[in-house]
Formats: sequence, C-alpha cells, structure tokens
Amino acid sequence: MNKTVTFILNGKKVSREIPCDLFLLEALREMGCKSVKRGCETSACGLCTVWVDETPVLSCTTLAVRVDGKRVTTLEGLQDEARVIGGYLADEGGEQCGFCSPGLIMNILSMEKAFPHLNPTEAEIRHYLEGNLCRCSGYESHIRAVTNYFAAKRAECAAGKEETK
Amino acid sequence: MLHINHYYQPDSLEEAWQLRQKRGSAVLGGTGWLRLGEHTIQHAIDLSGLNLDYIQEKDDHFLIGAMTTLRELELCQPLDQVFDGAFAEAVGHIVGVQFRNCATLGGSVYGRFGFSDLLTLLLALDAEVHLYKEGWVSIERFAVRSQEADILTEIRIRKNREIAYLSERLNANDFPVCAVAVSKGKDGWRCTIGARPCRAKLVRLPEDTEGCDEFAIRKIAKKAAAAVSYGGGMRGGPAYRQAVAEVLIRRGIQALNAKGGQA
Ligand SMILES: Cc1cc2nc3c(=O)[nH]c(=O)nc-3n(C[C@H](O)[C@H](O)[C@H](O)COP(=O)(O)OP(=O)(O)OC[C@H]3O[C@@H](n4cnc5c(N)ncnc54)[C@H](O)[C@@H]3O)c2cc1C
Ligand code: FES
Ligand code: FES
Repeated sequence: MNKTVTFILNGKKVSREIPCDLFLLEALREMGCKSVKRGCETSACGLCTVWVDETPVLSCTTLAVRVDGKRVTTLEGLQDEARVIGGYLADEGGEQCGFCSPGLIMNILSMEKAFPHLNPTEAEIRHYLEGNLCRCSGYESHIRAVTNYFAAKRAECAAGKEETK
Repeated sequence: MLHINHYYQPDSLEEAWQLRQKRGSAVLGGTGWLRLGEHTIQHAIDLSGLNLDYIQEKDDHFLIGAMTTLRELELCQPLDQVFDGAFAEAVGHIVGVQFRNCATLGGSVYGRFGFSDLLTLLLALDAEVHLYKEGWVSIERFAVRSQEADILTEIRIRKNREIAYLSERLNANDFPVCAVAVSKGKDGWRCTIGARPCRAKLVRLPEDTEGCDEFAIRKIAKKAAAAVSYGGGMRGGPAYRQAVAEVLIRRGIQALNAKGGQA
C-alpha cells in the first residue's frame, strides 16, 4: 500500500508517494540526502540520526509515513553548522573514517536545544551521545571536541552580550 | 524486515480497536521493536493522531498516555520529583537519546519484554494499565498475561510508594544483566527483579525491612534474590545474575532506609 506524504525537507516542501512500510532512512537517501548513513538498521548505532520537528530521531526506526506534515532536517540542511563542528572533531582527531560523523553532528547540534545555557557537563555530554557509536575514535576525542565546541559557543554568546551593552 | 500491507491512522480509539480485531493486525508504537526481525503486518494501526502523548499530574497519581516517548518520561520533572529520579534511571540507559525519542511507553509495556526496565519499574509501583475495551488492569496481572487484541491507551501510577531503581549493564547502554526496583509504601516493602532475562517478577519483602541493620539487609536481599529463577545468555549465567540481583536489592533497601520516613 502506498501513501502520499508531504513534509518540509531542509526548508523545502516535498511531496512523494511512498510505500507505507518504507523507513525514513530509505526515503531520505532516495531523495538524495546521502549524509543519512545506514549503519546497523537495528536502532543501535545512531548513524542515521535526523531531526523531525527539531527532535533527533533514528531514521531507520521511523516510518516515513509518520513525517507527513512535519519538518525533517538532515545534515544537508545544516552545512555551515556542520562545518564548524567538523572542524572541532578534526582538531581532536575525532574524525577517522568519518562514517559516524553525520549522525554524531546531528546529535551534537541538537544538544544546543537540550542545553540552552550551552554548558553541559562532561557526564551530560557522555550520556547525551551514548547512542552514537563509533568504531574508530574510542570516544575520548569526541568528548574533547564537544567540550571545546560548547566552550567556544559560550564565549561567542558572552562576547555578543558585551557588544550589545 | 518489516512489511506492512495496510496502514491506518484511525480517528478514534473505537476505530483502532475494531481494526485490531482483524487477523494479522498490530498497533504501531515507536516501531523500535517491531522493525527488528522479519514480519508482515496485514493491518498496521498508527495511534499518532489520537493525542495519546501526555503526562498529566493529578493530586494522587500520574496519567501517562501510551504514545509518550521514553525520552519524555526521562525528562519529566514532576515524575522525577515524586519518584526520586527512578524513571530517568530506568529508561535513561536505553540505547540513546534519539532512540528514546522514538520508543513509546505503550510499546514498551504492551510488549512485556523479558529485558524490560520499564516493566521492572512499574511492577514495584502502584500502577495500572488501561486497555480500551477491558478497562483498568493492575500491572501485576497485566505482566503475567499473554498479548491481547486490545489497545493500551494509558497508564495510571499512584504517588503512594517510594522507590529506588538499579540495573547492572556490561556497557552503558546495553540491555541489563539484571534490573531491580525496591519500593515501600503503606502496605509494606516489595522488590521486582527484571531482565533475569525473563519477565520481571515481584517479591514481597518482610515488614522488618524498615530500618533494619546491615546484617539483616544482607539476609533479606539474599532470600529475595533466591525467590525467582534466572536464565543464562551472552550477558551472564543464572548464578551471576542472581548474585547481581542480590547486590542490587541490598543497595535498593539501603537507599530507601537512608531516606527514612514512610510514604
Ligand atoms: C537495540 C535496542 C536496545 C534496547 N534496549 C533496551 C533496554 O536496555 N531496556 C529496555 O527496557 N528496553 C530496551 N529496548 C526495547 C525498547 O525500549 C522498547 O521497549 C521497544 O522498542 C518497544 O517500544 P516501541 O514503542 O518501539 O514499540 P513497538 O516496537 O512499536 O511495539 C512493540 C509491541 O507493542 C505493540 N504495541 C505498541 N503500542 C501499543 C499500544 N498502545 N497498544 C497495544 N499494543 C501496542 C506492538 O504491536 C508490538 O507488538 C531496546 C530496543 C532496541 C531496538
Ligand atoms: S542505522 Fe539507525 S541506529 Fe543504526
Ligand atoms: S570515525 Fe569511523 S566510525 Fe566513527
């Protein structure tokens, strides 16, 4: 059985007729969003992370019919932000083969909403990123990169506030 | 691979229930579990349009809708305050944030999985499951039944028990080797032992658990852990799981006794 779904993909309205058992991961890759990686397909690795209405979800676990009327964001829609975080990951040696990076970056970016004061503790960072598996890095470099990223964000905010005084 | 032949988004619970009576039908929760393995659903019933995503706090209980996600349970402040962080502790280790934004209370409880953290937690509380046709069923009764062709709509949890939740995992977000919830209320102490790895079971603890000394706690925990059976598996053999259960029960009793007072 097919169903027509209409949603906003990275700011643009799209409409497609899709099989009702198609998972969002497949639908998005078919639409050209190749940043969305197929890792485990058993809901365990976080590589397929996208946002639905700004909430990070596993696209391998979400049926595509369920995003009808919603906003879907992939890394293709967050290129500038992704480049910045990618830089912090590279600086710390956190990007090796890079296969896990799109899902990881989507989840790191969602932390900005989860921690509006931009000050997650190391334990909170570890807990938040627990669902993003990486075979190469051993995770320590990810934690350093995210810590540095948030420190820079806080400094940026503080400088912005100073300027507006 | 999950195959769906017909997909419905019913406008009412009655319509959802009628569909559920069809052969080969299934309700879609967060599809976290349904997507695993190879199965075909003839009639997939999506409850997304029925406003079952809520946590309501009342004077003496909480009402939680079936489509509430595990992440919402983890972040709910009133639940956190009343049950001293037990919900966050029980669901916060399940896979990752993105998964918990998908998986639902309804799917997790209806499944009555042998590894379930949530079932272990709810069994130690004064909780009831609401099924659309059958009405309210105590979690104790629900936990031992086989799956029924009904719709789990919401769960009611009374605020009358203090609880401590503990689990042991080989990795931070792996399935538990063993999970334990210890609780006390006006009707006494109880503990549940889950992820044995069979369905969680309830064990009543003796009245003198209240305020007892370290030696007595060890005896009570040993006896409670021995009251249920354990299975083996890649995460640990029966003897290991029982030993872990004993330690967790002991820590749970210590935690509640340290807080003192009666709920
Ligand atoms: C990789 C992985 C690791 C996991 N680790 C853990 C863990 O450590 N601890 C733990 O407790 N759990 C764990 N789980 C299980 C998970 O927490 C959920 O319990 C599971 O995904 C089911 O929830 P769901 O919303 O995805 O339900 P679904 O998969 O959608 O449904 C599960 C079952 O419930 C039925 N159903 C769903 N909603 C309703 C309803 N409202 N009324 C009637 N029937 C309904 C479905 O038809 C199906 O039979 C894990 C799952 C995965 C995939
Ligand atoms: S591919 Fe989705 S969690 Fe691994
Ligand atoms: S860098 Fe290779 S999987 Fe993470």
